[in-house]
Amino acid sequence: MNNKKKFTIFAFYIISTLIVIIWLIPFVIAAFTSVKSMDEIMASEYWWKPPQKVEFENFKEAWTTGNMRTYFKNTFIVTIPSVLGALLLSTLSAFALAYYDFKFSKTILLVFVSGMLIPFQMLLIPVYRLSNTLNIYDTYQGVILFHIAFQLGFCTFFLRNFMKSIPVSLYESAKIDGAKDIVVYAKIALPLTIPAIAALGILEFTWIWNDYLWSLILLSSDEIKTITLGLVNLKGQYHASWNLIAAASLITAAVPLVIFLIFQKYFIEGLTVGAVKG
Amino acid sequence: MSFSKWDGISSSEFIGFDNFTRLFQNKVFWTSLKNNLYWLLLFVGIPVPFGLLIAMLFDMKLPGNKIFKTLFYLSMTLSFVVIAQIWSWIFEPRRGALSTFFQSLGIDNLAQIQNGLAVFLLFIALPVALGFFVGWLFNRKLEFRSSSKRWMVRLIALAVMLGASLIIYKMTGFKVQASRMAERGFPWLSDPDFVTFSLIFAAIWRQIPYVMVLYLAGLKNVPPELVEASIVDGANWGQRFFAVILPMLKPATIVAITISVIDSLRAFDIVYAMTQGGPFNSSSVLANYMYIESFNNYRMGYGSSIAVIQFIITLGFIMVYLNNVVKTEG
Repeated sequence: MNNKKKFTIFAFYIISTLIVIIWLIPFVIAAFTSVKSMDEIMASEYWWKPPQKVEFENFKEAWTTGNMRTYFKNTFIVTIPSVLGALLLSTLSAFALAYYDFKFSKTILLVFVSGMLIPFQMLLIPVYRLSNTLNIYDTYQGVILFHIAFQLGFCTFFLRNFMKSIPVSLYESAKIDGAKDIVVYAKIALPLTIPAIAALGILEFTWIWNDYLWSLILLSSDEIKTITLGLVNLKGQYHASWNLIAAASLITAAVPLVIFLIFQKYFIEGLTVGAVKG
Repeated sequence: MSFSKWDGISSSEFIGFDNFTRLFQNKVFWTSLKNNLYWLLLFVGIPVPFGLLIAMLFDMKLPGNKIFKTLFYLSMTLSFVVIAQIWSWIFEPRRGALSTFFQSLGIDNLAQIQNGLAVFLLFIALPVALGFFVGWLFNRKLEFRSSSKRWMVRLIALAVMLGASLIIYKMTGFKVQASRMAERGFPWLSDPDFVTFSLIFAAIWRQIPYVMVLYLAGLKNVPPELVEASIVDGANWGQRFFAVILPMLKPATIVAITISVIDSLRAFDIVYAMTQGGPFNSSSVLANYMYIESFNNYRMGYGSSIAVIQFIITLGFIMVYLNNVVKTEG
């Protein structure tokens, strides 16, 4: 190994470490703050200093008094059916668009793609109106339905691309053997798409969990609010209790973070294949 | 609906182009449009090159780069609402991390930072960028050939540019107009001139890893043989990057730029959760303005007209993206 190469490796580690440390500072500050007591925060001159005494009071308080418990549960109630529904419907539509070449199939694909790019401002008022006329305003069903509808475009696009890469001969041989279309879908297309479905599911889960806007438009009563709404609520109530808000923020962030750490490979794969939204 | 007057409850009334004329006379609309422009420029201009650089760095196949990547990605998984909370803590004017950091450097108000930034941009970054551009124009015509003389020429040119900028700075006594608030402390989120930049900064924290993911995927498609061949041909680092790797990354760059543009136009969550467009609507963006008009002030028709404007602006970029999809999907 010559000197130049050694230098490159050395520089790589130094620069990478620096970048990662700078990138993680906000997390560290949030973590420090969340375990400090209010007295300590008020007394210290620098708010980013490590805590002198670690206590988890804030998490407990945010969880119970701050109602994070309810919001946490609500978000699961909204997120899981939304992800499952979007995945189920989009595997069907993606299968149709990938395998059958019918009239307007390309147009339909384009409609799906433009649907996911459209600025949501265009949709705010129509969605609000529609949910009022359908009487699903301020219900779980309403949010779930709209989440499924909005994610369908992306999911279909994503899965269609993946299903296109499965050789057509596989479908055809099954058809020759007398399999019905639905059997081809269930026995051939679905099992082969499982890696893509997993990647997509994880991505969708994080997005829907992190969603703020649609819950803001569609939910108004406190008992069924999702966690991002809850966090903003909490900030309104406990304006100066930074430690409490930091703890609540970490609770909100915990689920996507854990999911990301466990399924990192799928997550990144999904993002690169999808490469559409953030 | 943008042609009607509707409060969300009673029946709507057709009023023609009234909403649009009122919109164009409204100062908040123009502030929002201007802020959207800042979002657009900075949200593309900063994450795309930095994402590329960091992707190049983390693409080096050395042990441990997986851990670096994982840690770097973390900010991407957060909701904008959470980012807003974390950053409003960092942006705390008196004892927040950013303020105390600058204080420890001996800088004790925001005006000095604004000044420094402007000086940096005008007198250092701009000449250097121009120099690189001119150099690139000339460089294109040259063959791959590494010579130590060229480096000397570059260094001298750089030194002359920097020296000239500093002399200009000293002679003109250049100073930025800062608000009175900014001269006393660090009003990151309450100085009307600065608040948008603070918000964009927090959003960029999340966007850079995202752009990096796109570039890492793009780098996988660059055949290593090609890079090696260029080394054999005697290309130096810069030539390798600009002449070999960058052209191969063109698809990734197009995707990264279009996504950043679309995301910047959709910026809502972070603005709404951090400042709600305040103080005095100075950090408002179109999305945020539209939401407040429609749902807080119950002027749905008026809100729709904002949405229409925004849609027209975004349409061009959506077309670019769709065109890309059509081309690749065939």
